[in-house]
Amino acid sequence: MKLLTRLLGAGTRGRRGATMGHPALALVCRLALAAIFLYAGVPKVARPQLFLVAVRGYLLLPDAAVPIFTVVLPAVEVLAGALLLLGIWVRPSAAVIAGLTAMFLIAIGSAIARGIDIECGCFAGQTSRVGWSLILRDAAMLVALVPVLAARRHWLCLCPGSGGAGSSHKSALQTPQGGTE
Amino acid sequence: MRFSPGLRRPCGGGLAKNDSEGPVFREWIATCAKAALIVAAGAALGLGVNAVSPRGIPLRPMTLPTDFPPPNGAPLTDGYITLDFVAAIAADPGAQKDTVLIDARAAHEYQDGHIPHAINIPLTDFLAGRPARLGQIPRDRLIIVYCEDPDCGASVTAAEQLRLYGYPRENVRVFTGGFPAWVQAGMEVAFD
Repeated sequence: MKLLTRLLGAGTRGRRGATMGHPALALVCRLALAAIFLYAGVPKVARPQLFLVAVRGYLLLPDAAVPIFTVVLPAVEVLAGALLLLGIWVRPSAAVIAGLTAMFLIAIGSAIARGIDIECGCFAGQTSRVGWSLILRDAAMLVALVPVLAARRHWLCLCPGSGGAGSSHKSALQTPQGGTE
Repeated sequence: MRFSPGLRRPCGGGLAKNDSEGPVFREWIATCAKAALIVAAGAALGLGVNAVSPRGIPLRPMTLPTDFPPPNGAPLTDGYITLDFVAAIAADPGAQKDTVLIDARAAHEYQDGHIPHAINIPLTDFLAGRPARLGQIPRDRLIIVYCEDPDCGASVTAAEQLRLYGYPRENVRVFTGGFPAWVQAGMEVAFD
C-alpha cells in the first residue's frame, strides 16, 4: 500500500513517481485508453442486442441481471472514455477504467478456466474468441493506466485541477477535493 | 531521511508523516467517490438511452411460470403454450405450414428423438451470434421453441434471442413441457 501510495499518490516528489507520471507519457496513455473505450463502447450502446448475446455467453450473471448489465456497461465505458479524452476527472475516470479492465480480466480468465469457447464481446463487429491473447491485451491496458493514475499534471486537459487531487502537492494539502471540482 | 535545510517540515517525524499521507488518502477517497459517481451516471445514461432507442432491449427477461403447467383455457398467454396446442398444430398440416418448431437442445439430443418437423438450433448457436438458419424462417410464422424440460431455460433464452432478432413478440412461444412432456403424452417422435 505504501509503495502504491508513493508510486501513484506522491508523483511529483519521488523520482520514480515523477517518471511514471510524466505528463507526456500520461497524455499518450490517456488518449489511447480513451480511444479504445470509446471505440468499444459506442457500438455496444447503439446495438445492445449483439452484446447481450456475448454477455450471456460468459454464463456468469443470473438471467435477470444480463440485460441490465448489457445496457449499463457500455454506457459506463463511453462515459469514462469521454471524460478521459476531454481530461475531466482524469483520475476517477481512469480508476473506473481500471475497474472495468480488471473485471474483463476476471471474466475472460474464468471463461478460459471453465474451458468455454465464446465470443469475447469486446468490440462490436469483430469476432475474437476468448483466449490468452485477450488476457495479455487487458493486462497491457492496466499497465497503460499507471502513468495516467500517477500523473499530477495533465496536458491537453479541459480542467486543470482534474485528477482528483489538484495539480500540485500544495493544492492537495489545502483542498483535498481538488481545486475547482 | 536525513534532515535537509531546504525541506520544510513542521515538527517531528510522526506529524510530518501524517501531514504527507493524510491528504493522499483523502485524495483517493475523493477519487473513489467520483469514480462511483461516474459509474452511477453511466448506468443512468445507459438505461436512458436504452429506453428511448428503437434498438433498446427489454430489461425484464421472460421468466418461467411458477405454476407449471399453466392454467388451462389460455394456451397462448405470456409467451407460453401447452402440449395441447403443439399437438393440435402437429395434427393439422395447414397449421404446420405457418408454424416453425425449434428444438433448442444439443444436436445429439435432437438426433436421439424430437418432435416431428422440428428443426434443431441449439442454444449454443444462439449464444455464438445470430444463427444462420434464422435466414430461412420468415418473420410472420408462429415459432415454437422447446428444450428438455420446464427448467432447462434454453427455450426461454432462445425465444428471447428470436425476439431480439426481430421476430414479433406475439409470434414467439415457448413449449415449456419440452420433449419429455411430448414423449409422456405418447406423441409421435421423429429421428431424422
